[in-house]
Amino acid sequence: MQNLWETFLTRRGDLLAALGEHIQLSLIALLLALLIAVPLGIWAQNHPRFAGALLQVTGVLQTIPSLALLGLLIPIVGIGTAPAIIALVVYALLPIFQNTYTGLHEIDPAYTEAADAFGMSKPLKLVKVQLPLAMPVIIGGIRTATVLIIGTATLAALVGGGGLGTFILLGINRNDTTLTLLGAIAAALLALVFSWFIARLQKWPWRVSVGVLAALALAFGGTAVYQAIAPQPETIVVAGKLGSEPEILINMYKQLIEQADANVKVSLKPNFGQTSFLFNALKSKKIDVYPEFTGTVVTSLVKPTAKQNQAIANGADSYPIAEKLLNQQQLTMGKPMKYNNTYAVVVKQDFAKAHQITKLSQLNQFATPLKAGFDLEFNSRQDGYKGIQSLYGLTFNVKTLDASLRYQALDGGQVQVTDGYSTDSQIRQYHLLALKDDKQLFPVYRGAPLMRQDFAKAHPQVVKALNQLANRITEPEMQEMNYQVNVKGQSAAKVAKAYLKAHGLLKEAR
Amino acid sequence: MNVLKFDHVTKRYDGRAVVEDLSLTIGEGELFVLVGASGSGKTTTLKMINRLIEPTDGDIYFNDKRLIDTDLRDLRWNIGYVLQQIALFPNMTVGANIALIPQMKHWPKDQIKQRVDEMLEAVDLAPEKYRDRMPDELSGGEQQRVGICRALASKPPMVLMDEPFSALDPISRTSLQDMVLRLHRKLKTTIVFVTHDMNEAMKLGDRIAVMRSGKLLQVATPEEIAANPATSFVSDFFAGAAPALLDTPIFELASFGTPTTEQGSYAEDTPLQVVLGPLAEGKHVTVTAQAGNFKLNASQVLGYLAKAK
Repeated sequence: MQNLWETFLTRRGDLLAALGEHIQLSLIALLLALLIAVPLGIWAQNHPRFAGALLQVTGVLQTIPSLALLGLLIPIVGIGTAPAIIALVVYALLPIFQNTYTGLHEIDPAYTEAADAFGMSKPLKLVKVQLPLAMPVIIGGIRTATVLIIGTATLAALVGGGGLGTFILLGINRNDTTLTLLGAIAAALLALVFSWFIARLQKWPWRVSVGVLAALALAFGGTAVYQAIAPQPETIVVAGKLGSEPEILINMYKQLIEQADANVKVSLKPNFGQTSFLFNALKSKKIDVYPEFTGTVVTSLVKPTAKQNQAIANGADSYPIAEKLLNQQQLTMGKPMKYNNTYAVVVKQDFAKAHQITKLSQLNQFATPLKAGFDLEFNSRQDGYKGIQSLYGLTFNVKTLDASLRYQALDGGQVQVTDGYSTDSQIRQYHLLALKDDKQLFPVYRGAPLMRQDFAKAHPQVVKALNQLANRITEPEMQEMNYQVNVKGQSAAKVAKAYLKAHGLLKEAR
Repeated sequence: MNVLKFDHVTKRYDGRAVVEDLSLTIGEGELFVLVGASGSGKTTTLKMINRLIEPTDGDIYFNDKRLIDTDLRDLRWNIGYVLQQIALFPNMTVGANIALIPQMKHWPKDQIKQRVDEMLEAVDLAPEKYRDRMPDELSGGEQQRVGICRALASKPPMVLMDEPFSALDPISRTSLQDMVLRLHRKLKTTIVFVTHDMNEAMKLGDRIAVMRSGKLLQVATPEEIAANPATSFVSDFFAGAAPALLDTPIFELASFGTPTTEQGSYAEDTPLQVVLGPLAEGKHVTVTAQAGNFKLNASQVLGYLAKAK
């Protein structure tokens, strides 16, 4: 609880921004859904044959899993808020259409007969009699749709749409439940407030309700349109994967680029998504730069030849191979940084000191196998525990653990060895040591800025600015920075700036 | 002068005539009552006047002009309507319900306000007490008084009333009948009033039209009908409820009959009297009914009549 409050205090600015995005996303989706579903429900009254079909269609749309729907939309409308809003509208159609239709359909026919007999025109009958009588049912549908939208809008974060989902995703990624809780609680509260507000709307006179809705539509729709059409200085979009390390790196990119060229503005999209998502976003020009690892490029993003793979396995630098293959896709990578964020076998510093161990091969000195906690994937990978057994000839007494529990198990003494990544903040936090991979089992993962070739050609000053990080940042330095952000709750921007200043990359005058 | 004229009007649904070759005239200022059992076609006849239902054949004239040549909105603004279900709009106050048609006619605001109060007073509801209340706060009798106000508010030359008091308790019904008579004497509005209750017809009607199975049996003043009923049905209708009882759709007798799997020889909505002949000859009748086919014999029908009385 205490923890939650502290996280809230340090992050309240971000939370507020995410909340604003979430509200904007939800309101736009709700208003669009209203504009589609309510007239459709009214129209269906006089076309009962279509009503059944429409109910079927909206019902089927709702059964599409939200993740699948987002995935299907990305190739069509790209990433960002567009696919998120479309998906939300799709889900909101059914409850609003269904309740509008049934609400109008179930009006006692005596009322419509009376309205006809009094010579009311069709529009007047609709506004004065039918809609007011159906309003409680319609509002019920809108409330259902709203709660649905606000809940589902958390998934927008997966496609770069922002919102409270960024907190939830980040929390899951960093194994930080307070962040997840913060996002989830805010979304739940938002749903409650909106639901209550809409229920109130019903009690107000008809015209006031319409006025309030129109004002909201204008306010949010207007800002969205303005943002879309207003002329803006050249903006370079720099995105990062989930987690603190990419966020620190992109903040460094931003500061370096803006120092090099005062005329460009850098827009950051931290915690933007997973690898393939960012890679596609880069190719489709939704983003301009993101930090990627050479190892990830050669294993997941390009297809090296068998010969190249052999070379990499034998310890060759993967950067030139990655760059060569990327060029075939009209992409290019800047110069890599120093640290290697790869698998690491981790022990406690006390343990290492007591047995004078710094290298992985030195673990062969123990007669009885050490207790090891490995996650499932590491345990089964050729460049994981299997390689340790064959290349180093080491055998451990292995327990497979969930990745999130490894460090606690090591800290608590339940295991003596665990796997991790060489820049994990926990190494700094729990006073651990990442053993040197002296026989080069683990692939090399060096970070470098990935961009399109056309972008790099058009912005030589950006490439130059980013290459200032070449061969900079060691593993302990990255561990420390991750620790500052993850554990100490510092902002990534501040940590990035401190590093750049300390290393003379950022001029004090700024 | 004839305000309304039916000229050989027929209404068929799927080939079945609900109103058949109906001709009648209604004079200005008349309180004209259409009376008959359910299924006699009286409500259909009424609803053809304001074109809620369109006739299949024949013409209806309002002030010597064919209805189909009249602008629908003008027609309906000139013909008030009171429903059996009352149907005051529950989202509007009593005052707003009454003001509805004057508003559509764009009367000046203060005139509408004055008219609402005037109408409420005319039906013995204190305006300041009732004007701003919602319909659901009123008793059934009070609601139908407001319903009558709503129909009369824009001073239409004619008002249609479709069994307006059949859902009310006997005391409210009597006082509302008295009120309608009083209003009619005062306003001289032409009223076409539908009822299944002969007593109500006799009490209210300047003239009465007795209908049965879509046909007009007799149109006359109450006194003439009492003195010279045109058919035995009309005289029975007068004598009391018996003819209505014989018009009962036969499915009402299901609980007195014997269930059977046989194919029925009569539809379930056949009037009781149609099967009296075969029964008198000592035969069974079999009835096809949605709830299950059944057989009836004479003593079972007598059992029903004894219970129904």
